[in-house]
Amino acid sequence: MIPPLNLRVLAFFDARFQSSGPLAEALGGGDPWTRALDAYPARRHHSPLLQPGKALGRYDLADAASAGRVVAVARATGIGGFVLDCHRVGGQYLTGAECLDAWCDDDFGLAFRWTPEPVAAGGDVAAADAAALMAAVAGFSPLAADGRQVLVVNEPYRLPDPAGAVALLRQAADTAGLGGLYLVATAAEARGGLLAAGFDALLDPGPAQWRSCKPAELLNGYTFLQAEAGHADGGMFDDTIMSYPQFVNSRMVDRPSRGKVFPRVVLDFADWPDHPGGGATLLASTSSVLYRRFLAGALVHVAQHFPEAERLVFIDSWNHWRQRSQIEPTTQFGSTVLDETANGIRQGGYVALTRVGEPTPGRAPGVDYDAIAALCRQIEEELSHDSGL
Amino acid sequence: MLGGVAITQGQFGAGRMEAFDFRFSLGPLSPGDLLDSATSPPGRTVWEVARRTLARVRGADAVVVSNPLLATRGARLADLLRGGEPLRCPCVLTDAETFPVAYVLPRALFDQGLGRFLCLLSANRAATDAQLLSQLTGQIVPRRQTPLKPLAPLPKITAQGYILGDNLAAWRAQCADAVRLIRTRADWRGLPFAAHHPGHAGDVLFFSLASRLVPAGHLIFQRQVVCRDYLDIFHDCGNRLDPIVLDIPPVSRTGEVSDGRYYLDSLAHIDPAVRAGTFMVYCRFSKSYSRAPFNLVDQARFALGDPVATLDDTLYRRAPVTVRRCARPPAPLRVLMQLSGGWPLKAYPARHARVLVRALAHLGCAVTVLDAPDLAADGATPATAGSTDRLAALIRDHHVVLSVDSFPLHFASQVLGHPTVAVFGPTFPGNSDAPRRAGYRLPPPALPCAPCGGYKACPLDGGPDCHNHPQPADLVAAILDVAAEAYGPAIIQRGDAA
Repeated sequence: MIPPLNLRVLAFFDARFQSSGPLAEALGGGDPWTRALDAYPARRHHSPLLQPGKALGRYDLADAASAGRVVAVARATGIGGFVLDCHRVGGQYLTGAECLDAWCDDDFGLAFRWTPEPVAAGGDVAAADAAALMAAVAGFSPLAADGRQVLVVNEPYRLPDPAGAVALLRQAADTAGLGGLYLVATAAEARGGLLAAGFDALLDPGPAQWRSCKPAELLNGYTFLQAEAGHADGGMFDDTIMSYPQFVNSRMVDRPSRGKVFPRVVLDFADWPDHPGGGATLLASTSSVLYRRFLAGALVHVAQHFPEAERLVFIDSWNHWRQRSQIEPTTQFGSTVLDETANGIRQGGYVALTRVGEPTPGRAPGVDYDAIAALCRQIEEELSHDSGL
Repeated sequence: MLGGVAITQGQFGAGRMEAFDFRFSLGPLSPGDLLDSATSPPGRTVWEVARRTLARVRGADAVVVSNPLLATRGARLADLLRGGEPLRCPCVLTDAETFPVAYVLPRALFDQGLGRFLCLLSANRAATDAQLLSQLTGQIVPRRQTPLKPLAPLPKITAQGYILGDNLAAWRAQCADAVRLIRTRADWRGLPFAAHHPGHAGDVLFFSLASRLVPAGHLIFQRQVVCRDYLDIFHDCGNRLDPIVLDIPPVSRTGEVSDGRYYLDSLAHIDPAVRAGTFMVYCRFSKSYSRAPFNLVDQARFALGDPVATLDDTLYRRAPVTVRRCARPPAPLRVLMQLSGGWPLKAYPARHARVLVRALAHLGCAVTVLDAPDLAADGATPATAGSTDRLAALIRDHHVVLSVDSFPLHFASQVLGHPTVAVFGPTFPGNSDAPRRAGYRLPPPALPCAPCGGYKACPLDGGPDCHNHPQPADLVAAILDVAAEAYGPAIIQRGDAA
């Protein structure tokens, strides 16, 4: 089920759930599920990790049938592809894509996410790194935007010279015969110069990368005193807790003004397993209904504001169990979230269809939107001044 | 999920069964998707599922349809049918007690054109439903228990979205009334159906538009119950049905009296002679209408008998019926505004409203506001419509209408085809906006929190204002934009806006 209007929903995917193969060997073997789920809350506000439900279970992607089932469930939900991380191992990159590729086609493709090294290598080393990256992502069923393989660059601020890095990546892609790259940088708005550096689009950063709303009000002075007196868990002040409704609204409010930024739809997020000493980011009061609306709203947004061949919405994530953000069926909630994902895709697709051809208000020739906005600001100030008197 | 099972070969105990699944759609309209209509009683869905199941199996002798209040897959339904004593047709399947789980219906019922009577099923009392089917088919209709555990107590709102409570009594009453009517009138097959959907203003408008859009072969209603307060809307919106006028105030919006209770109470205020010759169908809200993304006009069309089976059938794929323009000279640009709606949270925030009016006045526009005398201090001319005639005159006297999700918006955009800017905040635009056309703008609400269901206060921050309303600058721009489109760019070439 692909939504109409060329809308494509992608989900971040952790391909490490495999018992054999190059990626498993490089990661040192062992049970990947144990690695992902072996974490226990140390604080009262840490929700425990969920457990895989019966529908897919603790699958082994090295088993072709298991991988096929995962892709089939994703397809049935309306998802059009997975975004796999590129793991740097020695001088090469591993993605685990070979497990999934057999089940992909034009309707379901693979995109990749690359995180640059903290200290960028220069010259030949960087070129070799780019070539290794392209070697890792080439040869699989591509998930294309504007006819080019999608590559998400995570934490692009690590690149000292974004324009140079983009040129290097494109050159390496040409050499590898990829037929072009569609480069997406993880950044909240277009003002950072990344589009000018040659990126094709941006993508909302994750909840831990961009705390787009203020912390939840449960961290007020009352709670502080309670914690100090030993009546509440003081550890909650070490973490950042955001209310999910506020978080969702902060991600969707005034989106067009942020430029060409793909939405990242998040169901839940809690990275406390990787921040045992504090500093975790958590979403509170999550709701599958609001998640559905978030997803539907994101689809409508890209349908209205993005060119037809570049309408992508990213779900974070399909199976990042360690961050509690997975949409896969769980033991605790069954397939509720997956159903809401399918519903959100259907609803967003329908609403987008009803708005086909809708012009963007205030952008018509002859209407000076900036002058109008300035006038309204001026009137607001006058009214504030009047009421202040 | 709704189940439908087609049974072929006539020998019902050994017949061949083919099971199908249907679902209430959240967007797509494939053969397995039903348009989710809040204004349809459960019986309307039974009819639709039966119709579609029989269409898939042309030679079927009977069809079994699950109770729409329950989530039942076709395969589960088929399992319930197997085993036990031979299945009789027609009959009503119940749980281990008396709650109806499914209806076994003969094809002949549909061949004789009686399918529409299924709209009258109670869907919650097997005995009454069995009596109705008995009257329709002329046969004794047994109730057959299945091994399904007792369903009671049901939740207040089912997983399929049905709001139970007083609605259960309303559905039972419509069914019992229908049984009485069939028993007492030999000519019952020709008696009219009346949709009980008496208010509010916008609802009457949507039903009126729907009555015009339903193809003649599908329209099963001939009458509609409407409050006298809204009779002018009923007529001025070109409703094709005959009104049954209700001389009581419309149902309260605060929820003090539920739709179901209002239905029951209102029956006493309808002329007994009319009731003695009309099948009354409960068409107020059986569900929350904002659960589905579909326009209320399409939801009403489904209620009135139109299957609205594909996306091409929906309102958004239809060309606008009328397009009208203000005949006044272009200067000054005249803007009519309605900034308050049916409940407090719909109102455009007062502070933003002041900015909006002042900005338009600054740009040389003449602004008239309905029902907001306070804005006179900011340069607007207050006005009151009172009737649709007066409102239509006011609209024609202005170049552009800007309105929150309220009757004047729907009247201007969908009935008159006037240049309009729609302002949505706490409600979902897809439920009640107009199809895209030149001369219509919907500045998109920014947040995904709508529809929030908030009445007086924002569910997020508890404040009295909805933050999802577009900013004043967006609305000013949209007004100038739509004016330029409707009347030519010259109309905004004056003042500071140009």
